[in-house]
Amino acid sequence: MTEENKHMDDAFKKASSEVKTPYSASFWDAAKAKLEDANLDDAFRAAAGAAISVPTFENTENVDDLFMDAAFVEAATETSVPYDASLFEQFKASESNTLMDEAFQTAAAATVVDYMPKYWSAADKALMAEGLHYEYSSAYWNDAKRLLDRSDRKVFFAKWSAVAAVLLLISFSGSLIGITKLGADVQFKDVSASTDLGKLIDQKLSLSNISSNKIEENGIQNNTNESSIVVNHHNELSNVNVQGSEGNVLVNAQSNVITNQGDRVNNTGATQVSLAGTNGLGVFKSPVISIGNPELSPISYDIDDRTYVNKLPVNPYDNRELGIQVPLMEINKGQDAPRNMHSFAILGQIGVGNRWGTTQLLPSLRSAVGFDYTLSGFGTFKNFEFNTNLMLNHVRQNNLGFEDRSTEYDNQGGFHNYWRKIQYKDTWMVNLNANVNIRLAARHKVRLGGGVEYLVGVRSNMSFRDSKLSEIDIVNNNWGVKEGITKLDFKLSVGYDFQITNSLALQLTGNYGFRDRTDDAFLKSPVVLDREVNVMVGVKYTLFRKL
Amino acid sequence: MKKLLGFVVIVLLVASCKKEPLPELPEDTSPYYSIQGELDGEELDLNVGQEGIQIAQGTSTVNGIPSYFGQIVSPTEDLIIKIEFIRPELMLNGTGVTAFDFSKLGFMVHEPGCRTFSFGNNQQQSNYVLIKDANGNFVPSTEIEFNEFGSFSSIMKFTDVGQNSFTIPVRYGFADFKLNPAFGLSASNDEVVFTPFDESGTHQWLVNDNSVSSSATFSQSFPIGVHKVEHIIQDEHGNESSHVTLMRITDYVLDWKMDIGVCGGSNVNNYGKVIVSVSKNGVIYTSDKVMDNTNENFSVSNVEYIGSSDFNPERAVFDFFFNSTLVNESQTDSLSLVNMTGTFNVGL
Repeated sequence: MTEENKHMDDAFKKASSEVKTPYSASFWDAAKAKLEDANLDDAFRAAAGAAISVPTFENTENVDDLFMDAAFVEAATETSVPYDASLFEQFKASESNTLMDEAFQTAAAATVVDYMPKYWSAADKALMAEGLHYEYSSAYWNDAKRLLDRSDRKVFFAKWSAVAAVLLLISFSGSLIGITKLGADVQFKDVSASTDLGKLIDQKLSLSNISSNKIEENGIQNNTNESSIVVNHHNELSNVNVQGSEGNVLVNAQSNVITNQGDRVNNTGATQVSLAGTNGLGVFKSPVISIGNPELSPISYDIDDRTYVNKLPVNPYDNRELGIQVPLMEINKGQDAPRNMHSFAILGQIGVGNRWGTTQLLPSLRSAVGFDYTLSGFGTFKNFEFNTNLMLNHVRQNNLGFEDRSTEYDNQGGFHNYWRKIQYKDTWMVNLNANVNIRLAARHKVRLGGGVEYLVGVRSNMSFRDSKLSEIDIVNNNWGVKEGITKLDFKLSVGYDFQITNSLALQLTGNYGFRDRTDDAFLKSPVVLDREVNVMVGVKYTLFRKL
Repeated sequence: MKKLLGFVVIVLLVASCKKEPLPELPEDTSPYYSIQGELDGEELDLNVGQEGIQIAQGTSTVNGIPSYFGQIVSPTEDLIIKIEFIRPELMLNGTGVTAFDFSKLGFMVHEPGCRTFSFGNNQQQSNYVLIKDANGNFVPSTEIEFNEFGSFSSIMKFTDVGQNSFTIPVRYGFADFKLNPAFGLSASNDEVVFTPFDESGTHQWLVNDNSVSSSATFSQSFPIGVHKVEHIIQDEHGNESSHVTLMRITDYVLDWKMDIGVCGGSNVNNYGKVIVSVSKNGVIYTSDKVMDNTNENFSVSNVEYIGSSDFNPERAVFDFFFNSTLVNESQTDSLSLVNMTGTFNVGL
């Protein structure tokens, strides 16, 4: 069993043991949430794989440091921003929240449970083991599966749409950077191509915040508003120069306008600019990272860069979560009192039996069709089924019949011979059975029962001469003669059922009759106890079940 | 609608199935005619209709006496068993035909006998009588001898009358007492008076085979010569008997009436007797030559007459029982029939 399966199985068992009920709808909610987490995880993994495929990027452990150092050096040569110690204080104050958020995400990733069809089989078995099998309805599972499949489709499209968007963004950003050669030039492009960029976007770190909070705080004239600082909103080339007099911090970001970009891209552009501007201030590396809203910036000085490489924007998933409307499944499995299940099926059988009217054990054909009703028990009788069926049994007999002659002598000294000959071909009997099925295993049952049979039809071939004035008459395929065949019989039957599918079962049945099926005196045959003994194989197809 | 149509089709198919009941055969009957017993110590069981065994029946005569018979023929055994009854003296009564006179039933065994002719008061006539013998020669005689019972024709001539011959039936062993046709003749001047012994019933008088009167008694003159006179008497049931004799008219007056007397033999009356004969391997054995058979009984029961009406039966069916001994023609070989029973029929 895989780790994910264990999680699911444990969750079910734990829930069952704690709640003291076989099943709770909350399980499904939990499963649903975990499944969605699984989708999230899959999306991350897929996105990460896509990001690594960027051809120009060679990931190294300290690549961010390289970018940051280069940015700081470059920024230091061009700008100077006085260091504000309060920024670091703010970062420290929010560090715990940041770490908690990180831990939560890590835990969420660790508890990923993927939905797979076999989980349902495992859950089904678990429910059966806990005696809840008889509340099962395939319709519920089908509904649940359909809903989850629908959910998976939505997740699939959302996931791959997000990945495609990121790839387009990355490639488009790369092309822009390659054209404009912004202040951070090559290093800036590398940053934009990295997943750090997404991380920064997620945390909505914007230049406007930096500008408004820090620059004004340092008394630097803010010659732009937020929108103007987010230069991408303007379809023109802008230069943002931020200078701090006290800390000699100078942010001189130069951004080439990215036309026709969405908000996120514009924001990204703005952030890039801000990073580029601060990247050059090596001495302010940590404080700069902590500026803005600390809780939105999980980046800490000590966090490994690889964590961020694997992080992609989560916004698409947020939208997906809101967009998925999974209807509540009306599954009531065990919450109410368990009930019997009624099944209706059709049966078809074929086999061999003994030939009647002879002392030799010779085979003859048997076949049967009919309807079947089964009552499945629960609780103490959970392994028992009470079954009755109405069958039409057919017996093919060869060489069963008799020939009868009589001679009438007259007073003229003459005589007349009469005769009749009949051959029974097919015998049809209606059979009503009552059986008890005992479940040995999930797919294996044995059956014991008894039944009563009544003769309904006999097909025969007949020829006769019954009058001195008549000729020989021949009547084939005649259904008018039942004499000679016992009309009523009782029988015992034993059988074995193998459940192939939920609806189809293979049956092996042996039947043993109690009465002599032939009237030996009528048939003028030797006294033979022609009991009906046969072995039948057949199929049982369940039409529907009802609780 | 489709379901209803399908249901109707199924019903029609079921209804169109042939449903011919098993026919009942006529009762298996035992053979109607059969004979069982011991034939020379061997079991005999002949059933008509089996193994080609057949039965035949009809009427015949035994030495001129009417009889009726039935016989079973077994081709496989080359065996014929025949049972022949001499008709009773009277066959008809108020209920119809009576084929058997149970008081007379028994085996007929032939005995030799003799009958003589007399001519009333004319003692000389016997000297002019010639009777044709077995060789066809007319010999002077007034007696005839019989080896068997029966009715035999006696052809005679009267040499004093002419060359004409007269044929007169003479019965031996068969006497009609219940319906006696005998009569008497007397002369009354030139006429002959005909007087029956039994005046009951109806009478028919024939002279020279010509009917002369139907009255019981009448008188009539006849020309000179010998005349054949026959009297036929019939009772109310239709039984009839006849008697034939001769009369001679001389000088237009009755000279004599010929009477038939007994000169030897048995006086038994054999009407209603039975003769059993067997043909085995081509040899005929009969019971009418074994005198011991006269001591055997032949019983008949369950008589059934078959025919268009009781008064016109064609056959008589009966059960029988008898023991008998049969001998061949030369009486050199015999057959014993012991405890013979069965159902037989005879033609009437």
